[in-house]
Amino acid sequence: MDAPDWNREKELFDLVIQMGELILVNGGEIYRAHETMEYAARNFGLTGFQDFIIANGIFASVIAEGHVYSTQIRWIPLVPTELCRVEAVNELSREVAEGRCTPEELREKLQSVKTMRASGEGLRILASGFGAASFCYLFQGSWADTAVAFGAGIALYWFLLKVLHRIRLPKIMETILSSAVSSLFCVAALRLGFGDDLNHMILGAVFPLVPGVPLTNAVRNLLENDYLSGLVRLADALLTAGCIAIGAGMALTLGRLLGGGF
Amino acid sequence: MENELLIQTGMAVIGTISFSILFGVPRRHYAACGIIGGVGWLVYLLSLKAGCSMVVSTFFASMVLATLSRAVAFRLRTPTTLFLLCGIFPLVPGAGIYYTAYYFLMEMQGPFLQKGVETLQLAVAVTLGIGVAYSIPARIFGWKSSPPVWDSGEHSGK
Repeated sequence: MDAPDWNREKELFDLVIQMGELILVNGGEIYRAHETMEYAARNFGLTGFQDFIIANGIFASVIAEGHVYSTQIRWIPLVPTELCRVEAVNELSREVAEGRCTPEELREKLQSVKTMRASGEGLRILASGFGAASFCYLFQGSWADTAVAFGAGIALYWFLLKVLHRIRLPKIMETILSSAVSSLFCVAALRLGFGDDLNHMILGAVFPLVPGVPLTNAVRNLLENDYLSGLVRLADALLTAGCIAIGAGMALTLGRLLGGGF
Repeated sequence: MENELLIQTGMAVIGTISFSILFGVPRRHYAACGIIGGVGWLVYLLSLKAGCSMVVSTFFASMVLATLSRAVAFRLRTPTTLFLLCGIFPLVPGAGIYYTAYYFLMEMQGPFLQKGVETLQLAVAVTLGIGVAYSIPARIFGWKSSPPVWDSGEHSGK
């Protein structure tokens, strides 16, 4: 009998970690990352697989070379969700389970999943406009407010994708600036005689940034007794909301200074 | 009023599709996401009309919406998150958390507390709605024939 190939074991473990990482980074749930990794490890014949996952980190170990523990730690940044990648990894996990995908194929496919995008920048900018407009209307904005929110939503994502993503800024500055830009759009529109209620317009305009889903995920984690992930996400959601409010407040103050009356 | 109901639901559909684009959902699922979001908002409006409070209506709506997301996800063999995360968007307290932060910075203690509590209540209502929908046995959705990993993960909710 040949001696087992320890390098191969390491490579397989690496693939398992990559799958979990891709799911968690792109907005998949913690349990999905856990189950996918555990299942892939079993399929690859890795023994003693153990993992511990929180919202922004993965810790996992397997038994390597038959007797020692091998451990990998990954930090998971809190970045925008890209759900098509979660779906792709889920599909790959199924293919592995059914033996339709060898580790070599998996490595290649995971590489392509890492850069996968479901839609281009243009479509996203347009979607931001429609999203802002529809939520402005749902929160009792008039049709005129809705129209202004549409423009502000487009301005928001245009600024975020075309300007801010070119110059690397900290996340909180990005949020403050993009919120300020779209709120300023609303202030300017009102000065030019478009729209009825500034509050409704601004609420719609900043809606693509608002952390409603992260907040809900945080509460979900807390109620599932995952206090660490819950607190990480709660802090992130509150900080984001604070940044949006600072941006909107800046725009309102500026509007008041430039010949007030709001 | 009937008309308003229809327009609002239509707006919720548009909003949900917009956010499914921003969340990077694959193109072929846009329609499903939109319909799920629209149904959720419709249940919310009808429940409000029937005299329920905002929190209770949000609970009902997210329960229906999460159940629907699971059913659709099982049919299309896709993670439930895809539909849930987008469909839930109209119900999560996005406006609430924004106003909470805004009043906090403006030093308006009364509205800040009121909005903060409301935001938390709504977030808990959504969570409980999802929790109830996730405790429906996976078997009901016809998810028997696949490997146990997707099955056990789905109904343990963890």
